[in-house]
Amino acid sequence: MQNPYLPYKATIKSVKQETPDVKTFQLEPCNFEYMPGQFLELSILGIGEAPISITSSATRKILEISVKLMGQVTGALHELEAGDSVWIRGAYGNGFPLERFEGKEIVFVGGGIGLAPLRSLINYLIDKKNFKKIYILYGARTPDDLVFKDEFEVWNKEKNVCVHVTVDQGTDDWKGNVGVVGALLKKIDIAPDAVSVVCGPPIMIHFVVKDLKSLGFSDDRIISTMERMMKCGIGKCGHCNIGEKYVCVDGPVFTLGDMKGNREFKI
Amino acid sequence: MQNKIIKKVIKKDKIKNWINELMKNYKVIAPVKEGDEDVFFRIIKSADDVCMDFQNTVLSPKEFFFPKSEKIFEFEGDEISDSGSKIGRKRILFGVRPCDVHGLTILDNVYKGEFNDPYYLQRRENTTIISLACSEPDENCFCKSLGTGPVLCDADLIITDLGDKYFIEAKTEDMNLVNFDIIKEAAPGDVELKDMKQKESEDKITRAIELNKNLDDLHLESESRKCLGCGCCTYICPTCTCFDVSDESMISKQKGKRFRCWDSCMFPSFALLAGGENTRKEKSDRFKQRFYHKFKYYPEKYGKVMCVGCGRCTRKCPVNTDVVKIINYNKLDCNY
Repeated sequence: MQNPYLPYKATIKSVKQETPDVKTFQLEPCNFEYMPGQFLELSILGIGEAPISITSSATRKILEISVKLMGQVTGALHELEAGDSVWIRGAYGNGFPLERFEGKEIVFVGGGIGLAPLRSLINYLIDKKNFKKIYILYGARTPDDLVFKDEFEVWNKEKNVCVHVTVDQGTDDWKGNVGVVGALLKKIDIAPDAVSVVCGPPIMIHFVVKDLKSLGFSDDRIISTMERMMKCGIGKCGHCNIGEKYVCVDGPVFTLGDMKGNREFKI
Repeated sequence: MQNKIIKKVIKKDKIKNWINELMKNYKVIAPVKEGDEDVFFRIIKSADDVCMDFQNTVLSPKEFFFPKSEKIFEFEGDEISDSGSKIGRKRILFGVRPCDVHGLTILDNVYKGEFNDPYYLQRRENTTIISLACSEPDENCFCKSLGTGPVLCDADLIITDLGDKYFIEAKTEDMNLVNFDIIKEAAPGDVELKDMKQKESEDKITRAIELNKNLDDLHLESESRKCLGCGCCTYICPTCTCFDVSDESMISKQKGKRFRCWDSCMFPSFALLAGGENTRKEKSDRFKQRFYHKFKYYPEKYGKVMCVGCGRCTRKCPVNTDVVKIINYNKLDCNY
């Protein structure tokens, strides 16, 4: 019987320091298949295992994760360098509902490290070219906390892709927007059937969802990817449920409509 | 193979001989009395250790399928070895009460599915189950209202106490288990007596849990206040499936193991995120999770409640939290 709990070895091909506490790791595993919005279980042997969202798009034949230093596993990962090995299993989770984006206008709203899972879908959609327009609205606490800075320009150069960035607190040399990410919604002209994809800290999601609803987004056009305490990643250990939904197998991607009536869902 | 219904009897004084026969080909797990009254399932070394006179074991036999702690793999340097899921000798779980057999079928749903849990499922496949129907149910038992006892279950064999002998029945023929001289064909009178004894046992169960309750109408918030959060109810529950996964290593981190162990949704750290946010911060959140999981989420997914009415959680709770009372009484009941 196949053992889904056993991870396999992957080599760190490169490490990029995105912000003072976020690094992007490119991994080189064999035969790792995934779709945008899925996650993997990352092990550092002797330390433990943690679910990490995949930030790259499989269309580019690479596997990348962007990880914020938060706990023991992420702390140990941050110590590693190119050439070191980690252990992974997956990919797990439902991923984004790709058919929902075909020919549509898509508004991405990301906060902090929350842009990591969105980037997987952004690059996937750009490569597949089957969309009408993409807006990327992104905010972080300070300019130093912005992840994927080099990519903003690359995205902006794509046809029908438009990036707006903001920070909560600017610095002397910051020329861009200052304020919450939800305020960026005012800068764009959104089609009535646009679909939104939101990821970030709970407080950001709370306000962005309010903003989106006031702009007329119905619950099924507000999509988010959720985080919960998770161990096994495959629906057994019982840690990650939000009411009747398991984030690991039913999610991590949910629409606001999916969560309607769920007693443990609060935004 | 032609299916037949096995209907046999064995004299009580021959039961040890039967167990001895079974031990020749199987590892036998059976109820063993420890101290004055507590009975636990143990891997027996001698048929003399088996206790046939008990209400129910302190712990369900869950741990023989889903151990309290088990190794997933070992690692040394940069290599791991799958050391956890080896199939051992074929086993017999002897003398398990019908409610606990139903408990295993509830666990099956969780550990099977899109992903199979090889540790649990291999042990399950490797184990023959011989159930001992209840004759003296406890006052806290409410299996009858859930259809999980006190007699019928999905065991390979079911044995029923007839006084000076046991009745042995099975839906399908596995003659290897009963093909011994000491086990005789049942006489028509034995069948009648068995039916009578089983009916008597059913009649002794007076507690009943109400099904299809709207949990939002219950006293969960106020009931949670006295809860100590000790997790006892989840550890002794035959249907609780949650586990934690941890790594253990030498200081060098060059050698160690990954293991999983039972976890409890009643513990504050159960839903604690790495960033410090706790999605079930209040004790009442955790208390409600247990009830909603067992009586709403699981039934919505699998069509039956995640409880077999064994009464262990009620019996052992240090602050007398009573699952039947909580489910049966609504907020508006003034006599509560």
